Amino acid sequence: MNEVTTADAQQVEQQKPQPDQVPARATPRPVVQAGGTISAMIPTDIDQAFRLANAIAMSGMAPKAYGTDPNKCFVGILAGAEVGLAPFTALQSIAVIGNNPAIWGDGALALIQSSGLLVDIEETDDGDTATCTMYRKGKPTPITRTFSMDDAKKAGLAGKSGPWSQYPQRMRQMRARSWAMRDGFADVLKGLHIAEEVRDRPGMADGGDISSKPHRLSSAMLAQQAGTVVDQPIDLHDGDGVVIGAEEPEQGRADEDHGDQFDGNEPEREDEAAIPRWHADVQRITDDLYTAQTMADIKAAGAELDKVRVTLPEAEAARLDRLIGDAKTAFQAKGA
Amino acid sequence: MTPIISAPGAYADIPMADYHRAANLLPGPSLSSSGAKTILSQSAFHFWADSPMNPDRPEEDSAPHFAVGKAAHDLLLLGGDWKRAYHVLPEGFAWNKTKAMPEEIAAAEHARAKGKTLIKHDDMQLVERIADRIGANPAARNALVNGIPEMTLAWQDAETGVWLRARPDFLPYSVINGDEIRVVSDLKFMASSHCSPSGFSRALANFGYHQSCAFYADGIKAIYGREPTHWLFIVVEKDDPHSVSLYTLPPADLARGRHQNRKAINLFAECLSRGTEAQHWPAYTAEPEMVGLPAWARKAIDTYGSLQEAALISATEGE
Repeated sequence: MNEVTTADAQQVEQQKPQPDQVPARATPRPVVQAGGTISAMIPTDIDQAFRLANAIAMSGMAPKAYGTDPNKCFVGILAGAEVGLAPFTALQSIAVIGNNPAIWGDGALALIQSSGLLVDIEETDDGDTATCTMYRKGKPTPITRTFSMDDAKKAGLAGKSGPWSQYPQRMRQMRARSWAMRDGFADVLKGLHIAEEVRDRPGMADGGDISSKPHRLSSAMLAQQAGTVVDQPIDLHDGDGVVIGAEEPEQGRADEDHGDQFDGNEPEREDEAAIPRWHADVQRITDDLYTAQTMADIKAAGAELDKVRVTLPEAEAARLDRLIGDAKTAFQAKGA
Repeated sequence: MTPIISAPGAYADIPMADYHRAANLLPGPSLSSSGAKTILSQSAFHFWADSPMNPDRPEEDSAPHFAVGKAAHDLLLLGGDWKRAYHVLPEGFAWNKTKAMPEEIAAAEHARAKGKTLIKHDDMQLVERIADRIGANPAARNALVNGIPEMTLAWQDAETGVWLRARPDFLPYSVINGDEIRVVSDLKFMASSHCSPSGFSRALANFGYHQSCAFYADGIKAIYGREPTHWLFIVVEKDDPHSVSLYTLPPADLARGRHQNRKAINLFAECLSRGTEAQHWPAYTAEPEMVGLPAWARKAIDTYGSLQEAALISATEGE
């Protein structure tokens, strides 16, 4: 009895973990578990979400709009979580267009269907107008929205290159559906826009910002920037003072043509160097006004201004007009 | 050495040579758009080698080479200043006509000594033809008036604090004044193959013009508080018939350029923080790296056995 007890005690002693003792046998293999439910991996806190975003971004398998930016993926996962989408589904269903998350039409319909609030959906198209009618649980009035080619024309979509030319019927249907979904199931979509609709807004398709400047540049805009409307071709050599090339040397030698007496430091040439050309005119008229002795001098400056007015930016002409007005007032006051 | 520019801002009077080569242009080494492109397309070491940090930096060719594109570009943008940089040789000029043209030869020698670019009479006619062609396009002309050429912009990167610099060919007053429409134009003289929309699209990728635009945009934003609203390329064909085309850069490609620039600026800042000596600016790889066949070649070999067979089979498959 006593021996047994000792043996037991020894056994117990041997089983106690010894800090410097390597276990004689490898740890038993974990038991293979079966019968678990397949479910999405859902992060439960911000760190987990970010790690997941990082992993997806690093894998290079996130949709193109997210690139390899873990921050964008993180925002996509967050936006999806708010409407009940699992992380990877969220990235597939939510597009970031112009920095705003928006859900693709199919994803939005999936959300609404899984919410259990959609009783039925009817979609028709008569070749010109698409109609989408949705029946919502607990709401007797159906939600009906239409989108016609006339609407598409007004919105500048009809004939636009891309899907509006290739699949107009599908695009009409998506637009009618997106309006019905947004109006009838705002609580499910929680303010998410529909990607197809957002993408059609001017300047949004390629990541532009809708609040920014007009996307397409036109000749009229260039003319506006130039401050003058140039609708006729300009001949550079007609002496209109735009840009004159180097003179033809064989027409007789002038020193400056050969550059030998001209090193760029001559003060008398400064006016020629002024860019733009009108700058010199403005300077000259301003100087004339500051040195005007008589009313005739002021009027002469005014006449000079009228001669070059068309070449000046509006603001400069207005400034000179003000200066002339001030000079006249001052001169009259002095005379009085 | 006192820096030429000591504070962020726009400077109109910095000589081109100083902008490109002066070691004391700014309080510290700086990165330009072309530097950023070198860092990305080649390596930090290549950038270092052609920067003032390299004590043995190769000398720039002192006699400026004549380039029709550059001369026409300058003729349009520099206006009256053009003659300060160029000297046109008279018709029939030859350096050995010492008896017939002694004055002309003396003038040309003097101009060359001043660092001016010499242009032959015939070449000048070509320059004028090209400039005329641009002048005949009202939109192109409008894009190139009412602004300041060759403005030097210097600013510090908000993220890393390093000095950045840019020198847009032409900065319109609309940008400086913060007008509603702010179009920055870039005149490009291109080989005929790069002038069509598809050709220019390839040129954008090959030469990284979108990166330059993004770089300039950041500089303009840092200094004037607002970015340009549009980027316009005025693409002029170098050879006959000198077509002039106007292409704008899509905002998304500007964003791509900005993304690439960020990588370059960060790498520049990282190397600079380690030092200005060559060993701190790594070339392509420091450790042995695996370099294999391109994906298309792998696929061709895996599918057809060899590239030759792939070519023969592809040729018949297309029928």
